[in-house]
Amino acid sequence: MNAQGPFQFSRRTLLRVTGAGALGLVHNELAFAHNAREPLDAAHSALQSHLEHLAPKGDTTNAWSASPGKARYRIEGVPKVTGQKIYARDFRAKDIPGWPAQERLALVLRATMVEKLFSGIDLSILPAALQPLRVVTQEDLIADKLTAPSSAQPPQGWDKGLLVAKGARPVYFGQPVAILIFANFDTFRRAKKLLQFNPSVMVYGARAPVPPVSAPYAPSIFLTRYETPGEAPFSQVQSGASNPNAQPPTEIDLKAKELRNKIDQMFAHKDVRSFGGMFSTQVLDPMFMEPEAGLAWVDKSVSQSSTLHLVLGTQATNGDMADTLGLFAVASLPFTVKTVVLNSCYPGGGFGGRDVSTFPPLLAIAAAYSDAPVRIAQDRYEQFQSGLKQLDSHIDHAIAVDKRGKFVAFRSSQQLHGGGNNNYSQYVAMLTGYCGLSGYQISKAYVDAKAIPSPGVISGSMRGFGGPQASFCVETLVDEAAVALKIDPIGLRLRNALRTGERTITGAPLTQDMTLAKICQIAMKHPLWRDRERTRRIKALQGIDYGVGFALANQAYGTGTDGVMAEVVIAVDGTLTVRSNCVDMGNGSATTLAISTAGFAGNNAHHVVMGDAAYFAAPLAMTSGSSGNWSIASWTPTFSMSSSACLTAFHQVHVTEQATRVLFETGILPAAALLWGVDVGRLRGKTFWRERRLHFEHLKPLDIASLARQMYSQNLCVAAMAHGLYQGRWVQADYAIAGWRAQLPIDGLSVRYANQTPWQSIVRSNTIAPEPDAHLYGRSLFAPSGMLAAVEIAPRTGQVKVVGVELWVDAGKVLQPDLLQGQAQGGIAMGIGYALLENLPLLQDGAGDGRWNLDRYHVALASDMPMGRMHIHTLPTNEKTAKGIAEAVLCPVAPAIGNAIAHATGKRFRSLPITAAQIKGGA
Amino acid sequence: MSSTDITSKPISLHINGRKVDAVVSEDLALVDFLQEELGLTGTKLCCAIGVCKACTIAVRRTPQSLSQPILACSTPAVLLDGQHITTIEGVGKQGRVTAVQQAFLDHFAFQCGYCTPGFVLATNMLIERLRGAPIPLRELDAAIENAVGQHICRCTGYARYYAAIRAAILAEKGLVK
Repeated sequence: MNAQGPFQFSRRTLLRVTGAGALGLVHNELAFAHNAREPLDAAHSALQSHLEHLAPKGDTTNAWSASPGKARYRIEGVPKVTGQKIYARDFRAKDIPGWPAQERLALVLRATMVEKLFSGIDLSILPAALQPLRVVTQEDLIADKLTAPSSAQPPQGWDKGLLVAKGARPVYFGQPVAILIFANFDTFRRAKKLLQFNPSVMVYGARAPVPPVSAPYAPSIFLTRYETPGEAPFSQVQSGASNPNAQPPTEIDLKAKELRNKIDQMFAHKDVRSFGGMFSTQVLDPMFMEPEAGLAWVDKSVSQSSTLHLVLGTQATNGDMADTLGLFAVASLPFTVKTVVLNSCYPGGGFGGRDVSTFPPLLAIAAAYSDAPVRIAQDRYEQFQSGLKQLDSHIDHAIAVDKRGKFVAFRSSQQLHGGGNNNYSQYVAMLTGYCGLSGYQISKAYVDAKAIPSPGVISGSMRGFGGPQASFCVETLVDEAAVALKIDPIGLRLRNALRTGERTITGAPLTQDMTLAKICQIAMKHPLWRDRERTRRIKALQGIDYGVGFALANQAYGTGTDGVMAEVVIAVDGTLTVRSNCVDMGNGSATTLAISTAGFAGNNAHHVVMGDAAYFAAPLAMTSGSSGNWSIASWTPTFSMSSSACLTAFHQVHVTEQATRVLFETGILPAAALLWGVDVGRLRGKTFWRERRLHFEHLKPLDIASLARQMYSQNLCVAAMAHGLYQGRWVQADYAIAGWRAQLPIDGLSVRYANQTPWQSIVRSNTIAPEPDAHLYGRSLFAPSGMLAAVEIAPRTGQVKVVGVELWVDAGKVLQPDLLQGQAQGGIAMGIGYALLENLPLLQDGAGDGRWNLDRYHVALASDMPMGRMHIHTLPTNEKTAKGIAEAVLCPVAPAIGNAIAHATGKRFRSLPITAAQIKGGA
Repeated sequence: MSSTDITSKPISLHINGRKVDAVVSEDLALVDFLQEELGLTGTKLCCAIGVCKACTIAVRRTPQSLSQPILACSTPAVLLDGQHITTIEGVGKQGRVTAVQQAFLDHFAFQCGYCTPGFVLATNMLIERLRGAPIPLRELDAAIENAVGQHICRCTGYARYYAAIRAAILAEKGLVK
């Protein structure tokens, strides 16, 4: 990895990179994704029928749709507001056509301590009638050669295994020790009542101290940026990746070390003032509302080619299929799993916690050992005990400021604690590193970021993905510096805000319109800020400590290398369907994609199929992997990714629009030409949609139903599928389809004609690849944001109440304001929880003990919100595309609140959450 | 449920206007009865200890009495013997959404939607109370807070729920003086 730089792999390509064998198996072994010659076989037909069955009964009149490009309400709104079955937790085996009605229930028992050897489980408390039909242990998995996925690797030198083996030390709190399969819900329920919280069930033996951690989860990142007049600029992008601690060091490693020494010396320079210290943030639970649940069944009717069916609410449709199929890659069970069918449901919240969760592999294992379909439906205690957590952070930040108030040097050593398996921990730490400078131009800086293994509950993806940790630390430190320097805190930020043409910590060029300074300028003039001292004095007379704080954020969206895809199909009646591999976790993806057809097709889609991960592989017929390159016409570096809320507005919308564009140019427009009796060449670029009809000069406008009928009668293109790859820019290529030639910002394309079933893969040519060093950018898309928070504190209790919020976000083109506002308001609520309420111990007494629930883990209620005094502002923009803002709206919240508390009390808190007891007791 | 189980009891209750007779274990939570026995999965389980209010349903002693919010996760089904229960599946008629549900839709009040049935039921009960005892407009926000203030929503920040509830109440004449 070092030869190519450690930063080229984005977090969501983890599985592709480290589990290339497993994913290859998915593509080769999944019958419905076998190859382009067999696009839809029986297995995929079965999947389709399941998807249709699982599809909610919505309003068929398209009442959700407003004018083209806008929604009246969510496309999946009616099923949700009427309580229809749309979540994985809602389904039973008997609901699904073709499945046996008999359903088993499984219970996962988990380790509650890590410093003793696991001796086994004692189920003697269960009467005979409540004994499980089957107990699955690690010994079974070893005997049957079931292998753990690549996202379940323990710390170096620690025991490997999904479950804890007898005689072994549990690697982490909450590690599964056994899966109990019960005959039915009644026995499961009664047995669980006896087993849960019962200390006699888990039998431990001799003490076994947790071994020391020998290495962080790889890769760690080491960023050094040094730019000064007269010297060649040094950064990851400009010089190549470096590691000042590498042994043996390369020339560039030595250079990085030398430059870091120079940066260290700057902190001691007489003309600067240095500020720094340790900052920390806590372990969080995503606390999505629907505890993980799912159904699974191995159809063993053909033992040598069995099919594993899953019903899941997941963000990682591709990762979960790869992981679950990978479990059986070398298994020696009486049957051979050759196909995984994933029935993807709307998740009841995600926030990253369903991105390669530990749940699907356990469900798949339960199915493998069950004689019938099996359901696992975790309760909240189990969800806390096992669900992916936000990594805590311990960050040593320092900043040097010159007499003009310019930041001249920065250094940061960041340690984030992952749990007992790697999951995405290292990539979370990587983003913390990238976010180390927040939104500031500092040309002499270095950052180290490491994910340190621990025996804690597995940590990984959660909203913000490393950004909130960095944001709290740097924005608190900058505020401290401003107060000490007696400079307006927003003014200090304004002096140092990154501007277009400058570079990030990796040395990546900032080509987009950077609006950080603009946010500072607007915030400075806001009455909440302008009047803060006067209001503080007035409140003091009322016995209330009042303060206002500000924080800036420059959160990235996307992962640096993003592969996305969409299909758009027109039916003979003119209705449009969008299909996506991404999942709507509540963030509005389904609605947003449904309105994304309006630009080129003049109409919103009627239907959206979400989470269809396997569908695209065969029609697009693309190859991926680190061994390929752009000279291969079918190659892309990243084919598919997990779903993330910040990937819809820019990425998913782009490919949906491009697929619609191809459909327009090769189907709709030729149909219009025939109906109007003019040459299609005359029409190109000269038609327009108005009120859902296509217009050209004085000719009679055409509605989409008429066009669709013509498309079908003349066997024109009726479906287009596009794949896009973003790495610093969209990869572009030339495509020729039925006489139409165009350069399109996509790297894969297939079309289907009305009377033909097979997809036609359109071979790209003249590919314009990303910049050669773009894989080193780390991130290149940013959604700047900033927030003012006003707090009132009761001096007697130390209780903090957020009483006002003004949030600015550069969202680019706003697609659906209601969705954006809702996301931002939710981000504020989550940020308030992060700042003031939520906290889980990493180890002892943490969530892994199985005794955590919402009586102890407090998330924000309505009364914690500044109702009526919470305003979201989007920046005016000329941008033609939208930005992913799901994480950007979260990042400034906690530091703004912390800075407001400091303003109110004069006490600075460098650790989250900030509690009433701490405020009463002082820093 | 086995009728020979010594901890089981026969119950008879009305769910969404339909009479249901069953024999249930004394410790069977109502949410499990609804979901596992009747297939009514619209009542959502989240915390199962009565904190989050996602599983809120409406219960009346008689068809004429005022509905009371009950937490289906932590209420044994046997305690509701003889009572009249409304779950989300019983809200609205003939597949049409109600004014409250439409307000939730129009305000983009929910995101993942998992907490939505609980909010719908709680709002309906607030409106039912206001029909019998209208309140001054100045007390409306407090009444909303009292009705749904303890409901947890992880996605939305609550603002759009509150706006939708307010709009639904103000749209119906006579609820606010």
